[in-house]
Amino acid sequence: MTPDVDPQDRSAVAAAWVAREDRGQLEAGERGKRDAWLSADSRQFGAYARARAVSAQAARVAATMRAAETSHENIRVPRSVRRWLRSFGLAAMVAAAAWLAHMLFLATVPQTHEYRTSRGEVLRMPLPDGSMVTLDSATELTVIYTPDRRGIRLLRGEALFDVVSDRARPFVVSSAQATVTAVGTSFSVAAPQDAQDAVRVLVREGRVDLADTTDGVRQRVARLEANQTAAARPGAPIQVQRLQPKSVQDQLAWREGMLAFHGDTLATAARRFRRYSDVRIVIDEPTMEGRRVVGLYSANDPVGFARSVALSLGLVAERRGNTIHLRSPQQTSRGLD
Amino acid sequence: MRRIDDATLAVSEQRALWLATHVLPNEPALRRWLCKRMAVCGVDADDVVQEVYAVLAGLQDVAEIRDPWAYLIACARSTVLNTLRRARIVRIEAFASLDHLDAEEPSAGPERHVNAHQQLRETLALIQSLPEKCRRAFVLRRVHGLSQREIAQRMGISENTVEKHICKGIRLLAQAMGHGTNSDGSISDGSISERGADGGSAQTRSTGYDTRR
Repeated sequence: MTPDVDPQDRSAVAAAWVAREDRGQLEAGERGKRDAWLSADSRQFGAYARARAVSAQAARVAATMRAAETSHENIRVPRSVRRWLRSFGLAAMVAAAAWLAHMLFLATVPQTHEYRTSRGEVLRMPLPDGSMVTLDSATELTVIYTPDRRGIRLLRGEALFDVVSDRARPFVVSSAQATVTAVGTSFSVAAPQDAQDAVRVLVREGRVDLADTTDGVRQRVARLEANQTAAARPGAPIQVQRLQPKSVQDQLAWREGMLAFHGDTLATAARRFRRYSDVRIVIDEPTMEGRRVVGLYSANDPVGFARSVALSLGLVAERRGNTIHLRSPQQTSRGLD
Repeated sequence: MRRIDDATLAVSEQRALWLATHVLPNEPALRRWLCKRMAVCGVDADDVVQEVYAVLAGLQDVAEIRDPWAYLIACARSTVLNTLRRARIVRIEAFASLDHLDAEEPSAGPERHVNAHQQLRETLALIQSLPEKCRRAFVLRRVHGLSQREIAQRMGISENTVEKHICKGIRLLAQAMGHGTNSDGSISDGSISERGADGGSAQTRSTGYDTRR
């Protein structure tokens, strides 16, 4: 099958190659043909690099787009309803008044909503008071609003809260044994991944209070300012750490479907990718687990990450089903002996 | 035009991302810069832009580039100069206009004024304004992470057609991003040539470039 593109149109041929690579691994013959085309003229190579950039840019918006599609569906009013509203104007007004009364009544009783994201999904949505919550991949939380308290129960995963200021109604996020109390600010909370893990809090703007509520008693309150992060473990003092603003942004890169690493170990980086896709990265070379990695990667592209790691550390990335193995080239030769 | 060394042919995902973040958003401004000053040179802006991408994609390391806009302008200028020097008939006024442009300090690139969110929102609007089937295939691939084969099954079309939709998506987005967007961020029909996937003539088809064997 031949893509119908004008061979003179470098952008079109470049797009065809990028789409072909996106379909799956090129066969040896195709690879030779592509390389011949790329090396023949620097402008062709440039057009190809540009098409790759466009493709990468599209991948960056993936998470944003998913959130937008969801909110779009929520606000769309079916045509039949609109027609009904037009022809029964008065009835509609009565209905609207009844609905308003219902909402006013609801304002006095707790409103509970559950939100969850599946793996690889990032969702940004408004809360009833106008605050915004952004749920990272594989996150689950319950919103419990009462007249004097805006409560969030973070069950798993991580979320960023951009809180509208309301002194009379504190915004309280609880997760495992920790609670985070804010008035008006922007901060993220990550639920512990297992019993030994900590609840992690990151403050982007303003300040929050972090309390350990082990055994149901509020204790060891720590005040966190902007650009500080803290970890609360059961039965251990709260650890507070100051961060550079740049590093705060990096830690929140997941909102744009990206993962940023600043000298994290390879093992940590590989673990973080697990939250975003079913593909697992396994490091077969134990001496490499502690190597530090730096860079910004698409969260839904563990394969691309493994490939660039392999390239920069002189390893081989090999995919078997849903697992990518990173191993040293010598391991193969030993395997073949 | 020059040949590219085999060793630099591979464009890493990381480099593609760097180009997407630092070069792509500056491209409309680069083209405006070229058009304003190169009208008399007889140099094709597309050629220059592609040369610039080739240089940036082929660099060993981009970490040292602190000011991408200044770097873009420097690359563009040297490309234009090389093209002019190689031309068989050298137009004097072209060099004169280059002199004029050397005296001018490249102003701050527009990239730093456009925040990351704005960029993502614009790209999002562009994706949403792609032709229906193309958009669907593109969204399934990029947002939902389905493989081209899975998309083919879900949409009830052949894998080749899916590949064409993806190709068309990249091509239309590339064109729209390079030339800047309308105020509403949509791809207007008039600005996009539909040569390729749907509108190719019989002749184009028979001479079409074969990316397969």
